[in-house]
Amino acid sequence: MYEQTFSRTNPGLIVFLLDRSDSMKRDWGNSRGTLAQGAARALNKILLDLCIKSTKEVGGSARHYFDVGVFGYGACPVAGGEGVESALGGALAGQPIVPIPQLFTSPLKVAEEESIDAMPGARIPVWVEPVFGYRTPMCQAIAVAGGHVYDWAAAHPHSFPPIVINITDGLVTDDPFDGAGLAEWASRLTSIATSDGNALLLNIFLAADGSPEVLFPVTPNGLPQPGPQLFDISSPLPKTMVANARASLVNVPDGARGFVFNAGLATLVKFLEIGTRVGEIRDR
Amino acid sequence: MYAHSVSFQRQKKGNSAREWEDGAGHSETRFVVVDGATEAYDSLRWVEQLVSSFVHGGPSITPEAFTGWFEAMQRQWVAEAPTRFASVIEEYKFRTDGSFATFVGGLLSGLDGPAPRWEAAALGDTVLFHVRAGRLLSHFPALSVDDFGLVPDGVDTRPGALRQMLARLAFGSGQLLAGDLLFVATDAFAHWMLQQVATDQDALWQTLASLDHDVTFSDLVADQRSGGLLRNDDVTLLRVRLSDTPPSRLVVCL
Amino acid sequence: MITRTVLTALLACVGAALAWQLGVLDESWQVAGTLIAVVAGVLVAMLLTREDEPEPVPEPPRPAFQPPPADEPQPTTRMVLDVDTPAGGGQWWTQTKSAPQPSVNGDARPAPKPRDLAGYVDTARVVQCPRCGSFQIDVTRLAGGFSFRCRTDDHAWQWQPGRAWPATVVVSRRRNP
Repeated sequence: MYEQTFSRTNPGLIVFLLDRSDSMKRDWGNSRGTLAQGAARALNKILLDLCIKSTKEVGGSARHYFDVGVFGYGACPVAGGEGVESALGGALAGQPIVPIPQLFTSPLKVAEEESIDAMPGARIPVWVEPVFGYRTPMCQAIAVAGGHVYDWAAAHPHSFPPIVINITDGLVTDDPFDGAGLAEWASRLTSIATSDGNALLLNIFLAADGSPEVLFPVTPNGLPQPGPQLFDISSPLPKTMVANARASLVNVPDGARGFVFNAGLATLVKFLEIGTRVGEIRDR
Repeated sequence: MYAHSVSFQRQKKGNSAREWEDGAGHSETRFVVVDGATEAYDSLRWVEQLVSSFVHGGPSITPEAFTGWFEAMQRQWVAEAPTRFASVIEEYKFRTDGSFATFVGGLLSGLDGPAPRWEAAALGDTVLFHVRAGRLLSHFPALSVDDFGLVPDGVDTRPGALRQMLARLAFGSGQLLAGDLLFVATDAFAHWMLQQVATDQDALWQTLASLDHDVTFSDLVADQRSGGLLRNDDVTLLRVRLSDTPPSRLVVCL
Repeated sequence: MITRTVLTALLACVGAALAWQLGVLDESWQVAGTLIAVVAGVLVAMLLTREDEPEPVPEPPRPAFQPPPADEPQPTTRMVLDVDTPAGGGQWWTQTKSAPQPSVNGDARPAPKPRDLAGYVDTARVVQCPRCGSFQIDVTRLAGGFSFRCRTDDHAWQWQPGRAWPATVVVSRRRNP
């Protein structure tokens, strides 16, 4: 299980759930920006990485190794008000799941700004803008994304299972949603499967105040709320992810959950890298 | 003493033969195998540059020689870069990621003298195996089965990586006798070879020593993949056979 | 075809001989009669041998090309060529060959020994294109060596025993389309 590689025959699905609630407007430690800005930068960075991974021929476009979805929950700048909608804009607006070749050719803009780890002055594409407002409808986000994940898994029965990465800074505000609580929605999501295993739900809780980080725990003991709740709904990391994390010099114990608590910006970037590099153990 | 070399290759299952992305080269006294990072920028150009340069008068096997060679390779990489990029993503990939490849390059020295030997340098998980009389004498780098996939070393196009490359560059050597075999394999096949050494070494070396047809090699790879023993990846196997005599026969695959 | 040719010639000769031997005509008419007899002999022969002509065998309808099933074993046929390494590195002036001894049995020569191919790969070089690594090679034996042409990239090279094999670089064919 969890051994399939990403290929054009069996592409992968990576879905990001991005908290766009009002609390994301807080300054994020010494990152020179808000939580919303930092999360958007990290997300753009990982989308760029996925595009780069999928680009093989010089002068060519990206190969269809991945499908990607980015769902914002909280403020909905397109529909207005509170809810869940795709955070991809421009030519991608309204498409819940986007093939990577289309993402490659359709950034919102190209920014002349310093990226998180690129050289100063690098020109980088931007797909997701920082947005915040309203509350934290996390259950609805899982419910909406889950429908698309279900359809995708049915169409790709032999692919690596869908990976859903939830980025949040707050307490869920819509529990229960449509008769089911957060744990139930998470269970429904992770019961979606391909022949290579069940869908993975990874969670990262952002901390604006620089509280001590807890990376990939094996137990919820000692975590303040909402740590235990998010720990409980996080999938155990498959072996390939553990190997990748260890190759990146991140200490991951056996049996660790795909969960980081009180993450700073650098940890968010690392978490996204680990969580999206699974089919291939290393870069070759 | 004479070296009879040949290299076999097979692309990842599901890809066409044109999509095999390793590289191999050999001459009478040199051999090299390179595994380009699939996700790197234009790894095909980097692989070809490294293989071609190493075979046609590459460095001697010393840290000083490799320092100069790596620097020259990085300069050539930049000098031959495209003047325009197809997209901002490609430009970003060139400037920030560059290219990257694992490497084993070696020399056969003293073949006409009393103490012939191989010397090699390595970065990453491409592996050289030294076999004598059906037994593995040594392998270099001395990775264990569990080490594959966890070795981030390789030859990098970025000048900023030079110091780490030199710090991690490994050197190995061994005495040679007529009848010895050297095999150099990229990671997936090397990993499989190490597993086979532990289970049935006789059969392994007999099989690999007798390979004389590319289809036989392809069949072997396909069989091991379908049995779940060999990871699905591009594979390359270079074989150097040391002999007291020049080749007495030519084998032509039909 | 051989039967028909022989019979045609035979009947033509018979006709010609009859015309010549009859001697009832003058010389110019004898020549013409001979020619006529030859033509007649040919025609008779063609009639007699018509049934010898093999009927063309209708070819079965040619099936559309189908690639072999993926799991069908591919052929692994090899051609093994002996390399006649010149003694003394190929330099005649370094050889100390004695004069050939007269044969006791006249032209009798020793029968060639059957080639022992057991373990041949231990002393063999597998022919591989030095430019692209392909094994699909056409080989021609030359005086003192071999000429090769790669069927994959059309690269041609020659090699003589005792000489170094050309340095080989095998990289993705996308680099060498």
